[in-house]
Amino acid sequence: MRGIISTAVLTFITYILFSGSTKPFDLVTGIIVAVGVGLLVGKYLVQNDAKALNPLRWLWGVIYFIWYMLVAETKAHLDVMMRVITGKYEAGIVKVPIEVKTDYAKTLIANSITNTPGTVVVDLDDKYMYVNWINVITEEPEEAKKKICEDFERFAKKIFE
Amino acid sequence: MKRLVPLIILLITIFGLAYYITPKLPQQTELRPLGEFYLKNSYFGDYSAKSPEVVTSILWDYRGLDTLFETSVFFIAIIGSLTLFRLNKKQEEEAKQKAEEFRIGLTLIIKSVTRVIVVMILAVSASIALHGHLTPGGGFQGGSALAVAPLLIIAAYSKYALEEHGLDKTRALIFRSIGLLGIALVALVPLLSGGFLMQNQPIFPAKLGGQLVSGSLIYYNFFEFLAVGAGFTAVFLLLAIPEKVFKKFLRREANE
Amino acid sequence: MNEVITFIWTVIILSLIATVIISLYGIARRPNLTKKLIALTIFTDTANLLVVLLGYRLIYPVAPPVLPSFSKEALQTFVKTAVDPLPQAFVITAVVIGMAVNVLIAFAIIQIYRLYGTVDARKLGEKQSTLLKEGGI
Repeated sequence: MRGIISTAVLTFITYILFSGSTKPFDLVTGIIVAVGVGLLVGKYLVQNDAKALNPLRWLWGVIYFIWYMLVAETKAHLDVMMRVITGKYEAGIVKVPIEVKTDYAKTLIANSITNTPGTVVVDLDDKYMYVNWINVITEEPEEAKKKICEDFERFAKKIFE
Repeated sequence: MKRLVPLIILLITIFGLAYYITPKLPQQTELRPLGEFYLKNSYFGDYSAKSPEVVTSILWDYRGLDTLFETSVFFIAIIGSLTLFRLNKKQEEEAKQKAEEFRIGLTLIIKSVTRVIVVMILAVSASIALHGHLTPGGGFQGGSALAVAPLLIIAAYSKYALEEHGLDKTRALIFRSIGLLGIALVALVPLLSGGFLMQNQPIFPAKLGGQLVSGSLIYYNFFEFLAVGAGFTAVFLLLAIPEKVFKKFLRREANE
Repeated sequence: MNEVITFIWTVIILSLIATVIISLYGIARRPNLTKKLIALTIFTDTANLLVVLLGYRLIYPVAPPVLPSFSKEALQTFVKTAVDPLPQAFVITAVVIGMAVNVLIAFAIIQIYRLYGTVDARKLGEKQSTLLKEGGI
């Protein structure tokens, strides 16, 4: 019976946001749908209930979202803007090691890298990601990691590991 | 450049013709009497369906019989596609067996995003179907949205992942039959209390526990949601049988 | 204001009619069965859109046929601005049934491909006649 509560919460939030009203009818049908979906697919979503329901991890998730949208995105956008204007770039694919183990953490890092302009994850396996980088400063994996995704990985560890 | 010439000719013709005939067209600013009747009666009037959503009240109340028979057309079209792809018992078992080369799926990123997205799609489709009597939407639209969830799983994982965890063609057909049976039963209930087929008010209560459910509309929407979603799921499961496996069946049949 | 709306409306209707003509060309002249199916879906969708446009009213504040609030005064303004709901109700069922019929045709095309090895309508005719002569079917 793992994963029911967290999946039900996710379903309920989506349901209410999509319906756009909080009348008793929405709340009652929302709870019924949420419990149904939780029973149906909860066990495929969540490996560990204690992790999924830990409020500290959710707090870190919110902090990460704000930090990512305000700081990381702005930095990457400014960098790419400068490159567009000056025309100084040297694109290439580099190998970046990743230390996180869980699927969600890997997904978070890969999506974060892809979503910032200038870097795109092309492929990944158990230990390495292959990143298409707009300005290859170094081909050394550890060095590249510091430039590309060290902050993302630190947050991903706090949220999902 | 050569491809652009017909496009430009088409655009000039359309705009020229529109400019030419616009003043001569009759301007339709008034409602037709029938449309006005539906708008006035759907919630307040004497022939009320007790629903603020006029389209849904036409669909399942005023012209309910049309929709009932159109649902049967849908039912027969799905049956037709299943018949074209029919397999005997042995072949069906074999089609379910894991073929390692076809069950790899896409990368880890897509798989874990799909898991979260599927949950959200289920919530959104249920919201569309259950609010059919209040906001635009309803059983058909919700069911079509519901069918996207198994389609995503088939694309990201494989059809075998869906079957291993319990959703195979037979189950989908059972869900669809439950939906269609529900529609038929809700249509027949008014006959018991002396009404006519598919009657809505005043046989079904318009409010349940103080909340507007618009009589039979919510039941129709829910069962249609099940029927459409499960029907398309069955079709997608059949479409996802790898070409190689199916060709093997055909070749063996030809040899026997 | 009203003339602009009428002009845009006419342009939309004429473009839809042009799309219908193009899709009919696709159905009639493309030999590939899959492309015929694509043209058919374009045709049904355009026809549905034309039916929805039948219910449109050429006035400026125009509302969808959903009652905004439960009061008699709201009903008065609602009837003045709302579009005709009947064509929309027809189109909802037509869309889903169109989808089911498209699935049926797609299945038939896949089956034809598996049996004959081609989806070209011209080659299909030749293959059928040779198979009939040889007694293959």
